Amino acid sequence: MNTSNLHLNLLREAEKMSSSPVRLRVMLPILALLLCVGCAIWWAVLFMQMLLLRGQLGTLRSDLDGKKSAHAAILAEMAKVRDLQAELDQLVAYHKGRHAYGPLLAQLAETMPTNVQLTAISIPEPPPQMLTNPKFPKLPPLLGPTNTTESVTFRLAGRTAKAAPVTAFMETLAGETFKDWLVIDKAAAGALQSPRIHSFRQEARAQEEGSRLLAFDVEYRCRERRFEK
Amino acid sequence: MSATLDNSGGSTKRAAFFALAVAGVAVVLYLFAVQPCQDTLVKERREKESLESQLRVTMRDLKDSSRVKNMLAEVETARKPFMDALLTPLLGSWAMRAKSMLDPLAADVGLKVTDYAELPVRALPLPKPTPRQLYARRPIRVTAHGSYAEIASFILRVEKMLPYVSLQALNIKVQRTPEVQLAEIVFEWPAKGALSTPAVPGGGKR
Repeated sequence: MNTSNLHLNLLREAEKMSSSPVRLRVMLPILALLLCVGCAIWWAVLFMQMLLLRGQLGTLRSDLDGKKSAHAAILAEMAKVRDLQAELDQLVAYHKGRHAYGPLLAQLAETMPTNVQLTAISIPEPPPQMLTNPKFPKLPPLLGPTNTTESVTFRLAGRTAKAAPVTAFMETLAGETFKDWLVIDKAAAGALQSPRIHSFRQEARAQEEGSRLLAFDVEYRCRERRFEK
Repeated sequence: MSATLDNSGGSTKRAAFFALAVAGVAVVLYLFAVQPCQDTLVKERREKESLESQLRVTMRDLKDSSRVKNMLAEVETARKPFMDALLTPLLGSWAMRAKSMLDPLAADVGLKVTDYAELPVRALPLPKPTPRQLYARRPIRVTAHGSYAEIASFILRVEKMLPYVSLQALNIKVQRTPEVQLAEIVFEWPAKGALSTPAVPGGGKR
């Protein structure tokens, strides 16, 4: 029996040269379908994640809402603590700037030489505070001074018959007893010098005996007041 | 057979069109489903992080609740002596209040006080942070007559009995007799000052 073989050549010329054994008309729809299915699965996964996340967000929101009033109360207390602490800091700063001069006056009476007569004792008032900027007078004044220190001076004026008791008295004032109040700095220049002798001269008015008294006016720098915490 | 074979070109075209249509659907799916979903997820993840951080802060603050309450109690205790020592006006007068406090002390030492006068208030340096209620130094000038010993005793007594009152200035001048001297003593009290921020919007005093 003579049979003839039938060879069907379904490949096109271009396909014969192709490296892919699967034809493009089969591959293209499959790839497109895979792409489409992939997108759908991707979207489904994302959608599930979104649903899960929304559930978690809802739980978080309800948690926060539940704690909102308690949290607001504690925040208000924290703010109150901060505010009161700041108030306390200012009041403590005031108290730190407080110096007691009563003991100084008491000690002064005890150490005063008998032949020296004081005519005036003064702790001058501090200069007025400058809370407005003179360059910008229209600006509202500051609520507080920027300087935290305030200088204090102690001024003594009196008269005596001789210079020696005054010198001795000034030596006493420069001693240990008064070191808590008075600053001794003879080397400093100008207003910082302490003690600073404003005058030490014979009084113009003659006394009954015909002798002239010596009038003195001495200023001491005191420990400055520090309004700091 | 030849017809079928000829048809292979048409089936390739159909396949190409089909693939193109399906790819179009995939693109549409990506643009209108996947992409918005991703954007929403990114936003919601950020929101979740923010809410989680808020929750952490809230939990931390709530955990600190007892500590904050203790701190508040401590600050209020520390502040109380100052509050008790504040100078407050009596019948609208600061000098009257000072008089009511100082007259008994002056009488104890035999000092004759002739006048009480209010002096300009002095502001205190501002702490950081600045509190809403500020405090100031309120000076009152006391004019008195007496011996040096009486004046010194009076000042000693005031400083001892009123530990928050401070001597701001002093001026003692000898009169004709050493037993009677004129003293101008300026004492200062802590007192309520200005408000750093108005109590109500647009109101309050500075």
